[in-house]
Amino acid sequence: MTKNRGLFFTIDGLFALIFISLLIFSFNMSTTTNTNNDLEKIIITSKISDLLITSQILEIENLKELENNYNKMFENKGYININSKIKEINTKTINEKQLISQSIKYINSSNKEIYIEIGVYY
Amino acid sequence: MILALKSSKAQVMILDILILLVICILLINIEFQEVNNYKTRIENDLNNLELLEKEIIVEQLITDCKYLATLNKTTNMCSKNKIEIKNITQITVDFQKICLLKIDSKEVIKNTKNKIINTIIKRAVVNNNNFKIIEVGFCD
Repeated sequence: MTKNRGLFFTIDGLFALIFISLLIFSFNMSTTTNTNNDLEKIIITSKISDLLITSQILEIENLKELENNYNKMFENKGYININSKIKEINTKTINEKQLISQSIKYINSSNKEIYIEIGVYY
Repeated sequence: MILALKSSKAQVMILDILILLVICILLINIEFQEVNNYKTRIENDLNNLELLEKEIIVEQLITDCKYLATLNKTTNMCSKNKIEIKNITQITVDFQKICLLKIDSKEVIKNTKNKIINTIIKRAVVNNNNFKIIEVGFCD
């Protein structure tokens, strides 16, 4: 027993080192992915808010016009909703799992309440 | 008998030294990987920060009346995303990294001679009561 003690201790040490380094490695990797993801979210959110604000300024009420504007800004799959009329856009695009959506409600010049919602998958 | 015991002790010692060497090599390798990984992470974070800075600059262009945003005369406030083509010199002075500014296909600023455009940021705006895409290009 005493003959092999040194050998067993080194193997234990080896396992501990491998375990610790794997932990550090995985921790570092997850932080990087989060930063990229957050930045992508910020960029998409600002573009959605652009579409909503411009729609309010121009009093866009028809889906086709908003769809054209959406396509100028995004290639991603998404949807638009104007007063409960919903249209899905770029449905052929795949590999997008998360969704960011924003909405706006305003009263236009003809005193009509308009609700617009835009969702983008990424 | 004594000779056999000594030889087995020596074998264990050699094995121990070998394992220690393996551990040292592995440790150095892991440290190198960690350092490289850290460097990549820092570079990536710096790139992200740079991109975020550019996003903020473009946001300022379309929000601030000092640049492109239109002044709402009734409220005396700047209308976000409603722009006019104005203060171009001010933009080039304040943001020297901007080398291209396009509103739809019309080039408002073009200073790309001997320069490579790194990033182009696209935003949606209203200009002359029409929906338009503004593209801002950044060069080093």
